[in-house]
Amino acid sequence: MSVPENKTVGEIPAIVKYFNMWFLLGWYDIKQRYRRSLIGPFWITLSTGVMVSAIGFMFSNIFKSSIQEFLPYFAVGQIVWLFISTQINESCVTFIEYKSIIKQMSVPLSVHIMRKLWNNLILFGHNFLIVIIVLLIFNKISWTIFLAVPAFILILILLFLISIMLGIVCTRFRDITQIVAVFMQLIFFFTPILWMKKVLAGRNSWVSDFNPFYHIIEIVRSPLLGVAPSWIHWVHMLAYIGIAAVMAVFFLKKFKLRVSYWL
Amino acid sequence: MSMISAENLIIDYPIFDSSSRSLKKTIIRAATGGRIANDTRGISVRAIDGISFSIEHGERVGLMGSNGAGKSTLLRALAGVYAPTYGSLLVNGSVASLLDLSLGMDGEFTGLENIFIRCVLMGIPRSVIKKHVDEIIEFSELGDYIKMPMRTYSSGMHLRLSFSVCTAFPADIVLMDEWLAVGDADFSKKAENRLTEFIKKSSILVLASHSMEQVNKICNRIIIMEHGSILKDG
Repeated sequence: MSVPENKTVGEIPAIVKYFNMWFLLGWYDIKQRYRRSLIGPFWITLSTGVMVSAIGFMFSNIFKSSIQEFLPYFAVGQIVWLFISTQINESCVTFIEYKSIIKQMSVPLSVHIMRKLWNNLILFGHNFLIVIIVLLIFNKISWTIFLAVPAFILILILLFLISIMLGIVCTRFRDITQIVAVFMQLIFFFTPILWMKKVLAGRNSWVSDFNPFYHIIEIVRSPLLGVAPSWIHWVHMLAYIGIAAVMAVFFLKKFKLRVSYWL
Repeated sequence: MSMISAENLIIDYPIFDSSSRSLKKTIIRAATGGRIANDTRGISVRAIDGISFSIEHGERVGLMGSNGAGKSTLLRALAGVYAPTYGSLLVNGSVASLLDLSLGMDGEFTGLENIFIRCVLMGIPRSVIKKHVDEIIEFSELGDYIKMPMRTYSSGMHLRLSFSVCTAFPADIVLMDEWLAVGDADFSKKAENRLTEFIKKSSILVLASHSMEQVNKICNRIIIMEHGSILKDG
């Protein structure tokens, strides 16, 4: 067996061709982070669990809503949000983080993005245990859960496209990483995660209606909580994917060969 | 058939300082209508300045030249890292890049895990890695250390392992920055044989080196570079 020839492939076929590479390396990234810790990545589960239940109890009191309603709502929303925001934040530094590889060999950019996305997906899997526990405790399991699967796949596609774009832009302009971080911090408060949309009671409801993150989160949160997501969320989601795809293709076409120069 | 051909190859490195990398500068530049025109494209360094050559099957090329002559940049371009800024570069065949032997390896992982990391970066499928893993361990002479985290290794052991992995799978084109010398007297003899064997299996070797003696011994064609151009080829 010899080293396989590095034929140039498109960014999407590369995901299949380099499956071994991003799958193993992404997995090892997690292993490396939690080396020598007894419960490993379950620390994430534990810390998120503590956070979700503490805030869940407190804010259900503040908003005077029942814990049965608020805690599952917050737990699901928060855990999905954590996944999305971490991936978006880390996508900005993905190429910088894997600089040593990019500067030594030619691997399509999408492979590095998949490594990072897979990495965050594993962590999301650990957090998802909490969602399952909460849904069981509050008896929220229903058939609509199956609708969360296609919804989540749409989120993955969207995140992949956004990550490609942000990865390229932030490698060139390092300041954007910080801008994205601030933006993500801010948008959290404008997205119904810690508060429910109904508290707006029609006033200023544009805050959520025109907030992409509301639709992105609601499309998986509502089926997990037993309500089929409204068609409007699917429409928004597909529109975002369309826009992100056009932009990702544009950035790849124009700049993918420049990334190694910018590192 | 493996071959490399470059036609008027030019590689420009953009040089960013913190200000030109920032967004603010770019926006201000746009707002001022490009009045600070000498600033718009930033500074770039021409590392490779319009060179043409072709390397055929069986050639062992020694790249020589002083520091900053463009040898390493050329090797990286051949590895597919830097796309030509102008001109064209064609590389046919699988490439084994021995530029950074321990690429991707991590001290927290055991030697065994690092073998997988390094192999997967070379594009070797897992089933094939599993088949070769024993041979790699045996050659590295690490014995039971292979199950220990690599941060416990001495630098010699470290090098022995990465060398054993990188030379386990032959390729059509081998790129090397300086001839590899690994380990103590005993091991270095063994390593020398393995490397020679490894190169024999390849069809093209490009070796950047400062040592005339080494290049004369191994190569059948010498390219001398200076300031990004070819001074002498033959």
